[in-house]
Amino acid sequence: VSYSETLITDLSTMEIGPFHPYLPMPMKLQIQTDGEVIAKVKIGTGLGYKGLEDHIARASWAQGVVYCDRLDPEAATFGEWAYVMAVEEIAEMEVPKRAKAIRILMAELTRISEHLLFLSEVAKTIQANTVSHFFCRDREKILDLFELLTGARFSLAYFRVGGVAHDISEGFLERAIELAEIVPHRVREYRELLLNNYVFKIRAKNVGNLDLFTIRNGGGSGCLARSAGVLLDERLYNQSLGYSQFDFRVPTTGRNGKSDVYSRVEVRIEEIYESAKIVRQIVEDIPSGPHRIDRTGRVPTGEAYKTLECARGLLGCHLISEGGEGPAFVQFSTPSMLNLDMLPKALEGQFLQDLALIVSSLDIRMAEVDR
Amino acid sequence: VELAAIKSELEKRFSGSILQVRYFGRSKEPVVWVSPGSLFEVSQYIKTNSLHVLDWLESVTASNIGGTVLVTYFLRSTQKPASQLVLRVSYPTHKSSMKLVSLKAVWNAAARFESDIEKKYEMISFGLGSDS
Repeated sequence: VSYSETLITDLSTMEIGPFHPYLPMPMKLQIQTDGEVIAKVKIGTGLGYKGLEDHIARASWAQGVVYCDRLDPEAATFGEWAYVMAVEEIAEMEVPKRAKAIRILMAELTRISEHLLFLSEVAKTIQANTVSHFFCRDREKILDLFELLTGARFSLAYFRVGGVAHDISEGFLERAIELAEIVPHRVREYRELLLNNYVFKIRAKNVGNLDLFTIRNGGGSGCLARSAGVLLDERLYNQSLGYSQFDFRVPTTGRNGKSDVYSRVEVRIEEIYESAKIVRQIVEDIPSGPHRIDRTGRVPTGEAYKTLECARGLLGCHLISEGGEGPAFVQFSTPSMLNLDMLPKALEGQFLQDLALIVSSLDIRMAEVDR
Repeated sequence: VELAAIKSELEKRFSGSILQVRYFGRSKEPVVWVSPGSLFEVSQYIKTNSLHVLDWLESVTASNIGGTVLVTYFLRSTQKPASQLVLRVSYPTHKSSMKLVSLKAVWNAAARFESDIEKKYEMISFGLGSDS
């Protein structure tokens, strides 16, 4: 007797979120799995919407800075910087050299802090708790510096139209240079503990792949693009940011135009090293002079679109003034928005066990998406 | 980027569809105003054939100012990331249902921005690659 048996199996559907340890912030993932393999992913957003841009458009020029912090409270510097640059362009203000240097210094410290937070989160997803604690330990030093300078560890509200809120506090530069000296040693430690770690290599190499075409076509920038070997960094192209005077390298990783979890981690570790180099150069030769110029008169009618390289990629701020007490329109474009759209591609075809690792490796901040 | 070069190039190819070419704000980036009916064709052209291959859609913003929804596309070339071009189109708000020209088929990255604009201004996107 011969018989044939066909086993029909449907895809299983599960929903994760809005709150789940796998997810960076409130969001929903609807996942269809074929056994243990992720077959299809749908993303639900909008759960943390705060009407940020509308609030800024109802605020005064100065109040706008505080709202910009909420774009990503952990990396407040970048949102503030994009906003004040846009206002300054419309008002045709020339920012003092010292203020420009302090802004870059804060941006690079924030970049290191954000990358350390990213690395800590990735390490946690593979239960590499010791390394995760090391990243947190080093990040604390930067948050201490922020506290020393601004009185806050996050949501700093330190930038102002025309400069920064106040000059550098006593002891800040000495502690910043101490940090810049420690970082190269730490980077060697991170490479050893994470990049050369056998378990991490097995878990992260060839996992969560995104090819160059997907990244470019999806508007990917920053660390994501560089982890696929594309040399894209606003610090190199945008002369108005003021990075041209510093000696630093923009690292790229990824093999054959492909970004995986490993290359996304590697590019950030190398960037920490480069940012520390910039911090050192600024501290050693910080210009003297005023930290701010006061704005006189109204901000005239006009518009501006300013971009900068934040820790995750290209951050843009489009601002329109109608000559009033505050902006008539503000809209940010954030890297997390575009990176989120690439998440399904990175997840599909991967094992369910790698979900948390892949999600964390894309460094998505829902605060930037649900503005 | 030379304003005159862009203007003559686009006007030669899309006669009557290019409403204005000027500098964006106080920057040296050109902004090209296009009529909605020709937006898709102009976008396709500048992505592949123009003086600068504008293959990177960096951002799309939409503002309701003076009774019109102003949609602004910020574009770059991955080959020459330092130069930018701004594409702009306006839709009057007095119509009962506003239709947004979808550029998803030109730049994939447009999808996320268009979905936000649809929700915010109650617009319906149409054209190649749109859901409707």
